[in-house]
Amino acid sequence: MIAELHPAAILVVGGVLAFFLPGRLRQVWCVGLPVLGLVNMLGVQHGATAPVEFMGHHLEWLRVDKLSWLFGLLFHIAAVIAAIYSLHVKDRVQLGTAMLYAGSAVGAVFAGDLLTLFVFWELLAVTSVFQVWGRRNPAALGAGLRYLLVHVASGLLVLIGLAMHYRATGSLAFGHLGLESEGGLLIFMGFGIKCAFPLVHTWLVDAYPAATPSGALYLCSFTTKVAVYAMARGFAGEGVLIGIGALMAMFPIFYAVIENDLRRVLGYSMINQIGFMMVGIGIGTPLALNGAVAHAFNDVLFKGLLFMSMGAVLYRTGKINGSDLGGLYKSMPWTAGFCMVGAASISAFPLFSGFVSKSMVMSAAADGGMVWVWLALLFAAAGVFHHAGIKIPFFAFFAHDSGIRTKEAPWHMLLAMGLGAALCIGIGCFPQVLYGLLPWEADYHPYTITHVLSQTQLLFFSALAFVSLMLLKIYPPELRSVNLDADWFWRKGGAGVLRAVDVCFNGLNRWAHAGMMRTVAWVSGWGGDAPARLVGRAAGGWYRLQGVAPAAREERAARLAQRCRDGGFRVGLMAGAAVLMVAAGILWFRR
Amino acid sequence: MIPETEKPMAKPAAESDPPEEGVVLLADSGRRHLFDNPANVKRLIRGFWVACGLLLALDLLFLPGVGPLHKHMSFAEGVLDAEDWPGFFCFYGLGACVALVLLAKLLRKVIMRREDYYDR
Repeated sequence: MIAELHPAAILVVGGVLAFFLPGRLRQVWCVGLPVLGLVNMLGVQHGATAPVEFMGHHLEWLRVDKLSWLFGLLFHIAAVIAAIYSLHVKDRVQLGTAMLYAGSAVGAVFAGDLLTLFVFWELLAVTSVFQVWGRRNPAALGAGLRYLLVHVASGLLVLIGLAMHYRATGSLAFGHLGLESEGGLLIFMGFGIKCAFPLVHTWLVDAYPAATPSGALYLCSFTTKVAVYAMARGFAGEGVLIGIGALMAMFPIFYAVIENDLRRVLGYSMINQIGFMMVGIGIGTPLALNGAVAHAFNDVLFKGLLFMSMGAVLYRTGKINGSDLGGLYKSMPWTAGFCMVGAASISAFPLFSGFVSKSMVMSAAADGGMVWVWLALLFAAAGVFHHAGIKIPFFAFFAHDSGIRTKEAPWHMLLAMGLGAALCIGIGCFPQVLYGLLPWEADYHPYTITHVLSQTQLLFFSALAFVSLMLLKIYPPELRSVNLDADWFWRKGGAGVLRAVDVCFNGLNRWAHAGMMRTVAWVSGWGGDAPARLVGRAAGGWYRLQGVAPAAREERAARLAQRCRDGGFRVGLMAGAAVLMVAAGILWFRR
Repeated sequence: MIPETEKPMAKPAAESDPPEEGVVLLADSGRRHLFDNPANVKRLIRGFWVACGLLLALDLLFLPGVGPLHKHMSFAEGVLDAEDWPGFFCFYGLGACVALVLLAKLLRKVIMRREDYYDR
């Protein structure tokens, strides 16, 4: 019976209920929901569908195949871990929306048509922003608003695109879309914003560091991974994704090296990882697509683990800047250990999860003879270890001792991190379990002598660069600062546009207002007085002709002009005539 | 050019956010930890040099005529022969990261601003 429930239903309905539950019960409820959802989802058969007729359109609320099922599984695991991690959160809005957020991610990957996808796409944006606003400070409010604006723009592009796609093809089904049609192109751009394409990536590095410790964990698990799923479903094999992905894998690592906020470093590193996935989707062979999907799966786990460890540091010390931290291994040894497992996984050390998925994309690039793409990804792989693998644990837990002494993270955070770390090592050691779940048919063996050795060499010599540059004092110090990014154009440039508009239009307004008021004053002053003055003049002339003495003449003319201003003429006769005429008119037309 | 470290980049302390819940700040217990002893740091770094040297030396096993193994190439024959050079991954990783850091330092000169840049 329970197997007939839509996989997202438990999280969505339960999320709404979570708003009304009291304190502790709500927290436990939020752990139970994704567990229940997972049990329910395991019972849903592959190939299950739930067709609905809505306003004459054929909709598929549920489409279960290997691709959507794998992402559904991933989102449930992520939600369980995140819910355990947020057991300290008392905020009902944050917890309730977190469950709705997880539910909309699950709903989006099981959506069989574009309209359903769009509904969950928007729900994702609206529910996720509360993970940022939950911080309840002005910086989070601003970052959340900017985040929401970008995601609403993404939703609008998808909506316009799907309308055009529907007009062109008569179908709302969500399969391969391609870039040939205008509708497909718009949907691609909508997906691209959520994938954090270059230039529209700044919402990610803006909002994630502003979120609460648990909020950042939810954010890093769902939004971009739904977008990666949608891209894999709709635009597999589109060559342009290879270039975009290579760019995404490269440019953020430069920012990550000089960024001080360690959660923002993780944000840049996330774009870099999505770059690998985009390259995989762009290549579009079964091995590449499997690599992209497997890497998305692993990224949620190891990036989540890193966000959890940094969140725990922020929770315990109130600080997250590399320049303020250091030496925390003394106070938080377990957190430091879990952080290093996450760092080893994202860097793709053998026996850790990144090793078994990142190389699938690189092998696919090599199979296609794409030398430059392969070299770019190799550069990015070395850079990942440099900024995410070394910088994050080093500046937080080692480096110079900041003198901060604190308590170890609370038990529930350690439990959540432990689960994440176990999965990272588990997948790294037994990759066949993950490979068995991958949607496409492709044979891949990560543990060859050459691969293990070459990857270890790459990583150790990246570390060698770090150690040498540190010892030579060339490595850039952690500084409290802001680094400009593409969002300058709307954060500062936007303010410039506002000033320009202010000068132009408010200037025009002021000018028109002043001119108008002068005219009105003139009309009502000089112009309004004109008939009276005219009467005065005329009367003066008339009296002169009559030969009235000049003094008396002027006095009588002035009195007449004043009477004209006051309306003090005896007009009874004319008024009577006017009333009679109106009365006659009424009688005439009433006939 | 003012050295990076001397530029006033930090927000005044008064404008920083108030402490959030969960924050625990303790006094130092006086206990000596693993890396408080400089000898341990030295040992770690020395171990690291040795590991790097060993990894580089392992490539000898793949040299024709020297070692018994042969590499499992990523690319088809003749596409990127450099992959087969001894120490290719070592030097690529080292060079990539040195270039990365030096370029990032240059980037800092262009894009770094005061911490409250967007608030003003």
